[in-house]
Amino acid sequence: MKDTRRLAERIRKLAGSEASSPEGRELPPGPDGSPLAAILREVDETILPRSLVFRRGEGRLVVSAANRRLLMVDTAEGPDAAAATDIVGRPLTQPDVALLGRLRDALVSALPGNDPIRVRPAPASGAAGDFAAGTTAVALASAWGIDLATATGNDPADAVEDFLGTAPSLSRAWLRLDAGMVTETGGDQALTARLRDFADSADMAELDMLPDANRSRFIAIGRAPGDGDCLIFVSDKAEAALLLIPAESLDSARTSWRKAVG
Amino acid sequence: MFDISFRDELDALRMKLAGCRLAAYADLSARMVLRVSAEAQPRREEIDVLCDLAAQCLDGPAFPALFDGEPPFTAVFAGKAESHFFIRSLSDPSDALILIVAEPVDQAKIWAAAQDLLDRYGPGGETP
Repeated sequence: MKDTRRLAERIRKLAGSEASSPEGRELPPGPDGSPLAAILREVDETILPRSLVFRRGEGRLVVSAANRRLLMVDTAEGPDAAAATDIVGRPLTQPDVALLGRLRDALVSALPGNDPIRVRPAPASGAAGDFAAGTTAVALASAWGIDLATATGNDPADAVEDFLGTAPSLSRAWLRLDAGMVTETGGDQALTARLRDFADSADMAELDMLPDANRSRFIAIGRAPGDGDCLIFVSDKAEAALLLIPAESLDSARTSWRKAVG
Repeated sequence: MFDISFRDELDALRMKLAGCRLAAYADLSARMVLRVSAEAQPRREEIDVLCDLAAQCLDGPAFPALFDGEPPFTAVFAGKAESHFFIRSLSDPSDALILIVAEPVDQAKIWAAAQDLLDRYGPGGETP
């Protein structure tokens, strides 16, 4: 369950931090202005092979990431990027202590200053079939004394709470979940019972653990468009909810959710 | 298995939907994506994940209990920047389209365009 909550938190962060700016999403730096926490959080939230292009002022850093692992530093450019020269292109699988130190220095030096850090992910071009390649963001964070769980910067407000402020009016039945336990229900009792059954199902467990394929935690599943009811699953750091809404209300529910996540 | 016209149809669907960066045709029963139209060709692993997601959401055994015994035909993973749409064919339940579309989306247009393509290449329709 801990892993489930952790994944839900990641999905929440992803949805909350996503923006459509052409310069990429802005990431909060660490309390000391260091880019390390921002870089590692982004790597930790990367499942599919990606090139992550970070920019900060004149600094530019491109890394390859997949499976929540940092695979390689591909490019480091900028006024202070010389320190990264011997790191660029080196595989980061099972790095020794010396390499860890140089990697840390390289990442910090590539993105100096106090400007906002922005990231733009792009599909990776190289092969990345080795699931053990690179080093996990969690391991790097541990080595460098960074708490990824708390270094989250500007986390959005409780989106599920906000969403449930308006969504029940759209729904025929709903229930709120905390750590997999039903904490509140509403609407039609027979439909609520169906939702309870679903909440205990393997399908629900899979929904709760889905990877961030589209960086979303709002999932709607239904019959033919406009036909019957639609199941909505939403989750954030604190909790989750299941709702059954008429299919014609799906657009309204999506709008409410987008407002809830800011 | 597919002639060039289906590739063209998939390309045309993607171009027709504003902000659509990927359209894929999947066989849910085989859990395989058979055709992809994309701005930038995705990696095979990404396609496999999308197909697994489609199958999980449209073929999950617990879903029919929610929908009066019917399996789901649509699934949406809504994000702030883009959303994923999984649409099962009404005429051949093993066929599905996967669309990744930038927000804001015209959901009704997506459903209609996707189902139109699936219907035309379903049983009794053109050979994909």
